[in-house]
Amino acid sequence: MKKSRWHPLRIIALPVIFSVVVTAAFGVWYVKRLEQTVTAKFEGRKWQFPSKIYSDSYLLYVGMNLRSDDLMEKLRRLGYRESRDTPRAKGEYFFPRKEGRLEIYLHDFVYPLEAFRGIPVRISWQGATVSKMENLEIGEELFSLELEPELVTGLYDRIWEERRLVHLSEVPPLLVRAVLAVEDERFYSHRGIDPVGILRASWANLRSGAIVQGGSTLTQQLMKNFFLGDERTLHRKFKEALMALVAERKYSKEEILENYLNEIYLGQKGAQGIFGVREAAQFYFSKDLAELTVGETALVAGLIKAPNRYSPYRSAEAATKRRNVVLARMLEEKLISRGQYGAALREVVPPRELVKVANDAPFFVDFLKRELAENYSHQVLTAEGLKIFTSLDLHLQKIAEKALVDGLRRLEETYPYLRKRGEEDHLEGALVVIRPQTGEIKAMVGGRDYQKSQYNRVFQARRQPGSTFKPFTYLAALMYGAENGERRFTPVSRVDDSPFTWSYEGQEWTPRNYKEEYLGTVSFRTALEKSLNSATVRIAKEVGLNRIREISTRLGIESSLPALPSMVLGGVEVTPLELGRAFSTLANTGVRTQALAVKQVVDHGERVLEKRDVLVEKAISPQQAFMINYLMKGVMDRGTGAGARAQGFDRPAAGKTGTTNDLKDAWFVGYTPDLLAVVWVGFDNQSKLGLSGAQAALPIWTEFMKRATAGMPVSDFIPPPGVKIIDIDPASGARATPRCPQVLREAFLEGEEPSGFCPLHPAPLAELFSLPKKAASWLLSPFLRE
Amino acid sequence: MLALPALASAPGCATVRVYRPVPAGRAAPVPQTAAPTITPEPESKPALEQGRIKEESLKEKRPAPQARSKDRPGRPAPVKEGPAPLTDDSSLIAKITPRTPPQRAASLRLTEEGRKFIESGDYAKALGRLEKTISIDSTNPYGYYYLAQTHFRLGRHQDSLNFLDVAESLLGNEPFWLAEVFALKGENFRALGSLERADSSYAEALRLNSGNRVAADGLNSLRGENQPSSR
Repeated sequence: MKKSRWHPLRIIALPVIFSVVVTAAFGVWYVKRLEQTVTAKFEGRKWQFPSKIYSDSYLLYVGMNLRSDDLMEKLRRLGYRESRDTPRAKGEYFFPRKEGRLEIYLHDFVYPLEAFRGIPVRISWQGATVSKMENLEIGEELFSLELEPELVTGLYDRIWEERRLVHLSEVPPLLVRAVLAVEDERFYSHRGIDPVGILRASWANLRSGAIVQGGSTLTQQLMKNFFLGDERTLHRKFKEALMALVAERKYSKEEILENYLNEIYLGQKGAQGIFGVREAAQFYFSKDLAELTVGETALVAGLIKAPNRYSPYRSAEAATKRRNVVLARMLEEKLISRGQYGAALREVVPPRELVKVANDAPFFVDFLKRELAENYSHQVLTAEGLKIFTSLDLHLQKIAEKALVDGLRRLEETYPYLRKRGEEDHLEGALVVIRPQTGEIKAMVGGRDYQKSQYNRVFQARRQPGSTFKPFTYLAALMYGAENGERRFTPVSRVDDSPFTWSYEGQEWTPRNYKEEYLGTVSFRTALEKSLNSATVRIAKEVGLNRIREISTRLGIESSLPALPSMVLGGVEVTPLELGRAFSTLANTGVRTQALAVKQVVDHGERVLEKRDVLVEKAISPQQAFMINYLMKGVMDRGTGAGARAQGFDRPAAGKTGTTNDLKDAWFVGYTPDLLAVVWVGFDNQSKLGLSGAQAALPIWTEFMKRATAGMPVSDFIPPPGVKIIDIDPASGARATPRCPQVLREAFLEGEEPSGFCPLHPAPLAELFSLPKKAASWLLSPFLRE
Repeated sequence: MLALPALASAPGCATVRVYRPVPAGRAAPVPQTAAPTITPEPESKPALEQGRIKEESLKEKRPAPQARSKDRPGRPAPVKEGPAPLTDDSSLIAKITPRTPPQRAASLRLTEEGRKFIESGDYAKALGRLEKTISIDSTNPYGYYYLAQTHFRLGRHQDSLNFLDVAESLLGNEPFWLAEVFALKGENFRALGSLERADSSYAEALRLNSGNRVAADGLNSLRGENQPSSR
């Protein structure tokens, strides 16, 4: 019988051998793949650094009006905490109210081009005025002091990892040893996994009947954080162990430890995750690692186990307990002496208030992103750790948002027909705040609820500005007068405000006044103050549309302006931002600035990538700017903006209401010499609002300005040389006599002031010049007629 | 934290300079508060080195403050003699009195810091300080003047002229400073190749202050350049 070639053993052995070979091959391939993964991580980009957007810094100076409550609110937002005595650590402040002084131990801060070390300072008040500032470290008097910018938000892809990298050599050895003592005491003895540790943890868990101890080495923890999730599966543990072995084979203990200290999760601040020991030292103690006390060192090490449970922000008691456990371990390991141990136990872990970064300016941030997108890709913005310093004032931003949201709600309460009639039919508004001197956008609210609509009406909505456009006509009239080149208009010029029809290039157009009310002959000033359409169009007709267009463009309007008569009454489309920019030129004595939101961009290594400077251009003379501002002050004091006065806003200010003919848009543009705000109210789908600018937009503006300017020094528009201010009788437009029942202080360009006295209320010469009657008659008889 | 001790540079680490003066142009003087020590300067022509200016050269060849011109009898006389030179009014700190409004006082102090940064050639820091001066006090003409100086140093002549326009309109009746403004306008126009306007600006500066050395030098040099060369 022929022996079979296939012995039963052979039949069994071959598949086994085959399986072993295949498994081994797969194993080799798998380990190789893991090795590639580990290598790629260790030698490539380990972390994503979100870019961060900062507000503007805050300048304090001696003599400024400053409410201590406002300053403390600012400090709180910046993460300073109140101490019970003179501050001893950075980030603390002490405010004995009765003594009229505030002591602050300032944070360190790296501002573009300059790095500043935190110093203790004292600010003293006399009444509401900052009377003195001192650097307590060297006893030097300070004349100005700048608080660091506030973090507005981060730009990140999925999660916001807040991390400051540190080299192992820069980490205090005590912290390294404390971390090893509590997390992996045999770190320098194992090769990635620690059988002794696993056995010990298993025994401890078995005895307690629960998982009380982990057997993962520090390397395993790093592998888990780098590559794996939190799922508790055998596969994950197996992979983690393999990766740890691979990492230990390829990299030194020091490299692994350094990565661990930078990678480890150590807490949460709202959307921001706190990663790495350096960031943790800043987050919990406002300190650099080298400045940590023994107790603080122990707490940082202890937080690794459960950062949020032991966070001093959550519970000072839990944090203290955990710290003490670590201190005991450190003593046991002889990392600290008994004396150090005792002293550290006595360190108090103060309760802390967590101030989260909540992005209070989402519309502004969107605006910035658009600006930044011109130069930086999404990838760069979310991973390269840029610092973007902006013009934003978070204090004004919050006030602006509240004023708009509350104002719109009040309007809906007062006029129930405005309430939501559908998703697309929702009362909306926008508010933008500009510092005229620099063009900086200080606040921006593009709508009432960012969560519901991200449409930013400040720069995306093109709407008709209505009467807010009129001042450009009046300015053109003051500058040029009539088409034939003769200057014709002064604030006391007489203008006809009766219905009329303008025939223009074969078309006829009849402007109508609000509520069809016509005042007959009025002064140039009254026509603007009362926003009289008919009178304004008559002025425009004399001045010429091209001149009005030219002036509007010169001031900062960028939208195309059709040369049609309706342009005079705002029959064009502009954005609130554009309108704000144009009026900023007027507020800034005729000097146009460029809108500025991004000020500086700095990379992760503090290199300045970009700096946008304040740039100016003289658009009109200061005299002309003053004249139109002075006229628009009248709008606030007597005209359509007088509601602001009734609401309690009493600072010198200029402004103009705007209402479109079809009552779809309500506007108010108003400004002090230092701050300008534009408010728009309407519906996105152009539904009828049915309210004027004075009714809908002015109350919002007023609420904002009242709070925004509280504590600021009162400033007025200063008449430049070449402008004369004299008392006139508003009825006659001539110089006022003592017998005029009404007197108005009016501004004139030098040489254009009226020469004669009021013919309606004549007074004897002696009264006019306060001279003895005979002397006056004798002196002035050759020159004046009574 | 940014604490600004009065007129002292803040403590900090090394800065990164990102500004480089752009070619074309020359160093204009920074009006300085009277300094007790005077470093003799070379009697060389302004820094025009093959059409390029190095940042360092600006520092080296910066003309002395106006007040020092009296100590230099050897310097060429202005083209047109006007009234007697005005006394030096360049000290901004001297303008601060108990009656100075706090905004203006703070703004002047920051302007002085900005001026010092210009002197040391740190234009980025100078811009930072000076932009704050006009933010605090928009009517501080000296802030605008030194912003113009900084932009001039950076070769941004049109921007410099824009700031000078504003400074001029705010200065009112201060002939010393108006002369500084016109002299710097002359420098900018000259750098832009607008020689007629440079000439008239220099002349206006000298009319306002016959002791304005920048204008005198500028005008002499300008008119010298325009004369036909003799063989």
